[in-house]
Formats: sequence, C-alpha cells, structure tokens
Amino acid sequence: MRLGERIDAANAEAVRRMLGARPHWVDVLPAREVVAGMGARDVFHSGPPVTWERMSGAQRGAVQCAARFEGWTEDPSTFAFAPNHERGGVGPMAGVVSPSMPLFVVEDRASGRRAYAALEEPRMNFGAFDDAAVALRRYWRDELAPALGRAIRAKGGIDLVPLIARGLHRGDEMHNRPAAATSLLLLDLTPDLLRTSEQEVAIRTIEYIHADEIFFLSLSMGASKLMADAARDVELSTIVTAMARNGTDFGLRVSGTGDEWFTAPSPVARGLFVSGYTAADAGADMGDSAITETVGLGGFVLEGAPAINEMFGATAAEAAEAAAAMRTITIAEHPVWTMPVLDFRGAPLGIDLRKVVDTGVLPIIDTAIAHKDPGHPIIGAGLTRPPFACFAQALRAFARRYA
Amino acid sequence: MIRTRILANTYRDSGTLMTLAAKLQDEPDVVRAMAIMATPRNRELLATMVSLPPLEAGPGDLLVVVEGDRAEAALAKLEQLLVRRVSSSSSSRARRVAVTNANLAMISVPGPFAAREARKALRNGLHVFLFSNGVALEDEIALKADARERGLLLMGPDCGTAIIDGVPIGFANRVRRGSIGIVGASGTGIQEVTTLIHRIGGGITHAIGTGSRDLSDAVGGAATLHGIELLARDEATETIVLISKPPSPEVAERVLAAARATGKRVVTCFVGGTRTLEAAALDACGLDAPVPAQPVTRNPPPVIGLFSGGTLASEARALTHGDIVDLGEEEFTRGRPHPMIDPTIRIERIRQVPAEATLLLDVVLGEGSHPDPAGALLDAIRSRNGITIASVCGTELDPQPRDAQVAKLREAGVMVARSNAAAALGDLAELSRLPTPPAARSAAPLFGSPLAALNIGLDSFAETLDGHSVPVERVDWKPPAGGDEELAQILERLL
Repeated sequence: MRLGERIDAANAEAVRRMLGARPHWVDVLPAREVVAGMGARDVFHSGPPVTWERMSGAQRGAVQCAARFEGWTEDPSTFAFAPNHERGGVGPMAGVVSPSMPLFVVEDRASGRRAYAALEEPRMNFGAFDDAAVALRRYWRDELAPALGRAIRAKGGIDLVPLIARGLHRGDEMHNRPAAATSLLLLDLTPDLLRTSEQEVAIRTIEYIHADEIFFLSLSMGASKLMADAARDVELSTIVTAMARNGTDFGLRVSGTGDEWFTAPSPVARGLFVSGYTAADAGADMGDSAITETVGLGGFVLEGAPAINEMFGATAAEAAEAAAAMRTITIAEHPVWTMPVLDFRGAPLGIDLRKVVDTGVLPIIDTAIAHKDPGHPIIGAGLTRPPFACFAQALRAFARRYA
Repeated sequence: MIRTRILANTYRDSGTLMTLAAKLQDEPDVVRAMAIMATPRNRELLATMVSLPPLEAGPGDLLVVVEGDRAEAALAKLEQLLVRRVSSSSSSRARRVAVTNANLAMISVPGPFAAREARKALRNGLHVFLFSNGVALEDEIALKADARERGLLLMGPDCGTAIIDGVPIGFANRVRRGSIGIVGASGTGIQEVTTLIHRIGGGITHAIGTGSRDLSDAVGGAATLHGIELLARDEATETIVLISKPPSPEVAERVLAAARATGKRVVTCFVGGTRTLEAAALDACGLDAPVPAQPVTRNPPPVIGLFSGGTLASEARALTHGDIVDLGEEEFTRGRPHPMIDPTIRIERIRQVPAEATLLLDVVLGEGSHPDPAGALLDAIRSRNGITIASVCGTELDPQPRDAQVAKLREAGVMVARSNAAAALGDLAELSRLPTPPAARSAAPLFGSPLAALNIGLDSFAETLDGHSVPVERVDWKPPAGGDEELAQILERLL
C-alpha cells in the first residue's frame, strides 16, 4: 500500500476513535484530588510549555492571582509550571491551575479515561489578580464547586455529546457561544442542585450559571479533550490532536507524532473590544479552548451560529464561507453534531495536517482576547488562525519519522 | 409484530425523529412507527402506547419502534432513512457552485505545480484538461500512464483547446455539433479545423486535445491513442480527424493504425507537411481541397508574419518561406499574457513592419481570446502603408462574431482570406461550402455523464463553462505548502 493510503487508513482510525469517545461530566473536585502527584507549588497553564521568563502578561497575571488565592508568597519564577495538556486537562485562556482550584472532571465512558477542564470565568483567566478576581475564585472553591459536585454526583453524570448536539441546534458553536447548552445544562441540573444543596446555595448557584452564558465552555472543552485524546498516538496518523496557545506560543500536536509540540509565535486575534480597550491592548492568542476546534466545534461550526457573527465583525456569509472551508482540511463529518441551517450536515472534524499544508487553509478559531499586560479582565473577542509554521514543522517531523 | 432498534449515541432533533417515524410508517405493511430519544420521560410516554420488553437505552440513544407485518424489513432501511439530504442550495455563496459530480478538472496553475494538481485530480477519478505548460516530460509520461490505468483521459500538458459534448474548453470556438471528431496535439490547429468545418457546413462531436508533446517518441501518442479509442466508441462520430505537427514515423504508424482500426473515416493533417488545415477540414466534410496556389517564388515581396497561434505560424512558415514570428513563443510571453489575450506586443511589432513588406496576420476568435482581437490591431495596421493579409479563425457563434471582425479588418484595408493557409498563399477565393449541411447529430456525453467541471487556475475557463450552463466549481488554488518547494516535496511523499 502506498504511504499516503496507509496514512489515510490511520487517519480514519483516529477519527473513528475520536467519534467513539463518550464524554460525560462526572464531578467537580480540587486540582490536587484530580491530578495524581500534583506538587504543592505546581502550576498548570494553557498552551505548550513556557517558562516564567517567556510567559505572556495575562498568564503571569493569572499566576499572581493563583498565588494570592493559595496564599503563596514565593517568587512566581520558583513555581513548577507545566501545560494542562501534559497533565491530562485543558483550561480556557490563561488556564492557570493551582492545587486548590476546582476542576470539572469528565470521563470517557467508552474507555474509562478521565480528563479535567479548568473553570471558565472572565477575570483571573484573563490576567486580573485584584480582590474581585481572587474573591470569585474563592466563591468557586467554597460554594459553587462543592454544590456542582454534589449535584452531578447525585445525577450520575451528564452525557455531553447529545447535549452539545442540542446546543448546536439552538445556534451555539460551543467555544464563544455555548449559551443554549448552558441553559440546557442548567435545566437538567436544577432538580439535582435543589436536592443536594441548601436552598440558598442552590439558588445562588442557579443564578450564577444563569448569569454566565459561557458557563458550558469548560464542559465543551472537557468533552473535546476526551475526544481528541482518544485519537492520540495512532501510528501514521496526521490528524491534529491538540491546538493550544499560552499567549506567547501557539502549539500543535499530531496523532502520529505523539506528545511532541510544534510551536510558533502565537498570533493576535482580530475582533471586537470591550469599551475602554482597543486592538493596541490585545495580547497574543491564549488558551487551550482551541481543543473545541480540534474536534470540529467553535470556528468550524460558525455556519450554525449566526448570532455570534457580529461579535467577530463578520457577515453571516463571510463566517459561513470561512467555516465551510474547514471541510477542505478535515476528513469526516460528525454524525450527531449537525447544523439545521445546512440541512443537518455534520460538523467537519479530523483536521488532516497534510491537507492544511497542501491547501494553506488554516483552521479558524473563535477566541476571547486578553490584555497584553497583567491585571485586566476580558477585553474582547474575535477570530484567529494558527501560524502556518506549526503545521510545516509538524509535517517535517512526521516525514522524518515515517517517510 | 413489534420490532425495536436502538441506535446508541445517536442524538437527533425531534423534527428529524418525526420525519424518520413518518418515513418508516410509509414503508409497506407498517401499522405504526415511533422514533424517540430514549429519555426517561419519552420512554414513559412510549410505554403508554406500546408494551415493550425491557430495553438497554439511555437519553443519548435513539429508540425506534415499528409495528407491522414487515417491521423488520422497514427497520432494515433505518440507516438509509436517517441519512441527511445533501444540500444542493448554496445561493449565499456567490459564484460558487458545489459540483459533487464533477468529471473534468481544468488545470491552469503554474507549471511546477501542475503535475501535482493533475495527479490529485486523477486520483479523485476526474478526467483532466491540463492547460499548463512547463510540466516535466517524465511527469507527463507518468501522468498519462496513470490516467490510462484509471480509464481517465488526460488532455495535455500544454493543451489549449478542447470541445467536449459541444462545450468549448480553454481557448476554443463555438461550433455546430455534427459527426466529425477530432484528436489534436495542437491548439490553434484544432481551432482552425473546427471553425473551418463549421463554416463549410459540417459539425463536431468532440475535439480532444492531447498536448503538444503527445506524439513525440517519449510520450508515444498515449493521449492520442486514448482519444481515438473514445471517438471509436462514440456512435455520433463518423469521421476522425488527426491533427499534429509531423510525428516520428513509428508513433505516426501506431496512431494511424489505431485510427484505421476503428473502421471510421480517418483524415490526417500533419501541419507543416504536405497538407493544410483547410484541406483537412474540407476532406473531413467530404469535399475536395482546391488545388493549392503555388507560392510566388520569383521576386516575391518580403512577407513578415506576426502570429498569435503557434500552429498557424508553423503552417504559414511552411507555405510562404517568409519571416514568420510566433509571438506566443516563450521569449515573447515571459511576464505578460499570451498575444491571443493581450495584443500589445503584436501592435508594437506591426508598427515596425516596413511598408514594402506584406504583413501576414492570424486573428484568433473564440472563448478565452481578446474580446475584440481585430479591433485592437486596426490602428497599428492603418499606421503603416503596406499590404496586409489576414485570416480570421472563428465562427459567427463566437463571443466576437466572425463577420463583424472580418468587416472591421476589411474596412482598414486588410485582405481577409478564408483560412490561414489561403492567407499565407495570397489566395482570396471563397471557402467551399456543403450544398446542404448534414443534419447535426448530437454526440453522447464523452465521459459517460454530462460535463461538470472543477476549475483550478484561470477563471476565464470557468466563465466559459458558466456561459454554456455547465456546472463548474472554482477551486481556490494556492501553491501547496505555502509555496515552500522543499515542504511541498515532503508533502508529496505523504499523499
């Protein structure tokens, strides 16, 4: 068999595994209980590996927030940094995780494999480390996370693939707009919250989720992570298994090249800004949330989420055109994640490294925008694309290994 | 009889489920059909309607229940009924028509990348019209062998013209359909013969371009032989015309033997040899060629030919012994469009032709050519006081109707001959015509189904097909690997 055909077969297998995962949200627990062997000064972060010296402003701000939250007084450069992706999880934006931070726990009920997703919120994740940012994390740790944990354990887990499908049918794309899925999740969880928490706690939890339309992002990321992980380490496969950014570098992982990161400077997203901020304030793209695009969500299903186009300054037709082009770099369509506006055509998934290099069509990623300096909450949202150089490097490494 | 089926992890919207149930209900001998997501509440509801054995199904699973004598048969169709309809509407995407059943790729990207695009197209089961030149000889040989193996036709590289099912591809003219099929290794040679046949009163089934090198020893006539085979099978084709520059004797023999073996009438024209393109066109229509006027050999006025068509230039060169320049040669086209599109270089050159010389021109009409090729030359022609003889290759159906083009030239004092050969010979007699044109026979689709194309490269090729109501999808082509050749080579090994 020609090498290309063997790669095709390996890619089909990788996507089969991706689609075979059955991600469920099963728990909410502190990081130290989720990640075996997490050290007392371990700090996980989004994107590929990065040192304190090279760390972006927003990510440094988030680390400072984590230190305040944990009550640490040491110099942050002494912390033991590691990417979430290398510790079995993902985190939005800065994605900073310290031992007491609560994490969403997701489980692939097909394989038993687990993964974590760090909290979505608009402050520390973007580099703020003021009292409000610390207080929000404390509220999470002390009340929200325990309440959610009790409810989901009582429920016995929530199957995320059909929930995401229902959200897509209601105009979500699951990265910047998981609004419908958040509502559906809240409806599903409310009886369990009321059964397992005191009424006041339950009500505050319901109100918090109700006020936070992006709440579901952690879970769409967790589900995506389990699916992408299922497709990892398939010999000869050129399917992308992770796209992640730390505000300094963009990192890419490919199934057939295992855990190796292919990195290049992270781009700055184009988009809209919160009042008081401009494009000149924007830091380079950041977060593990592009794991959603890795499995066909986010930018890949913009056609089905016209409500967010305005956020990106694109017309519906432009966004649809960009998303439709993703079918030229993917090898499959999700059988369940479909879009009514496309007569229920499935989300394009299984990004083939070869197709990206061949066509020069780069994955389109929805993203939020953080400030380039520490100390700010969310400043905007927009669209971005990975640097071509990551894909070029990955292809060279793949060829060295297999060709 | 009640039958159930569970599709695990198959979420469908309630509308889809109702549609599915309705489709199942339409199956023969089905009394009732239900399709639900197996949530506890839905299952309770179901239980009030039908009694079922305990089932292992969760909220993410699709549960289908069918009641009827042939429930099993209906359920066997389940997967098929669940398949989504392929969207055919793409009105929001301007100028993009999704061609899911394309059978021809038109490739006109720069030479170094062209072989690769052709290889991809063949791999995807598409016939190929490869306009690009600069494809390596070994690539051409390999591509033609690959095409052969897959039963696909590869026209080119360096193929400028074809007519498939009456639709002009590349630089081609609009001509009547009829009973004459053409296989040619020369673009303007095919244009001259097809337009002359049209003007004589005949018609064309298909004209298959093979690329300029096809009849070389190295390529061995691979595309020509394939083209002959296709025309042999095409019932509407009664006469086969072969056009090329003189091939090597062995290849010529092989190709002629193949053509004769079809049992159809065969007309050959090896340009630059003893027979003109006009004679071949007349012969193909069953008319005798006029006795060629002898070129004036005693004290002839110097002839300077400024040509846009390569084959037309070759023919004129053989007939006049004049100074015939093919302005489509690479030395003139580097960094600018071909003179059939951009008349600038010809205008410059015309102004330099001395008054005592006879200026010989070809004016090539048709799809892809300049919108007014005669008009563009008039000022330059008028500015020199000398004799100009031209031929106009085209038909009255072309985007630039031939009559109007001829009239413009004549008004400027140009002598317009009936054909390229006649112009070269200074023969101004009219073209012979068939007394009554034979009824046009409509040819069967050459590729077994109606033409539908992918266009990779020059948009004007796609526009031509738009004008003929042939579905064409424009591929947004960029050089592979971002133009990095080393990376492109690595990629090539992995495809």
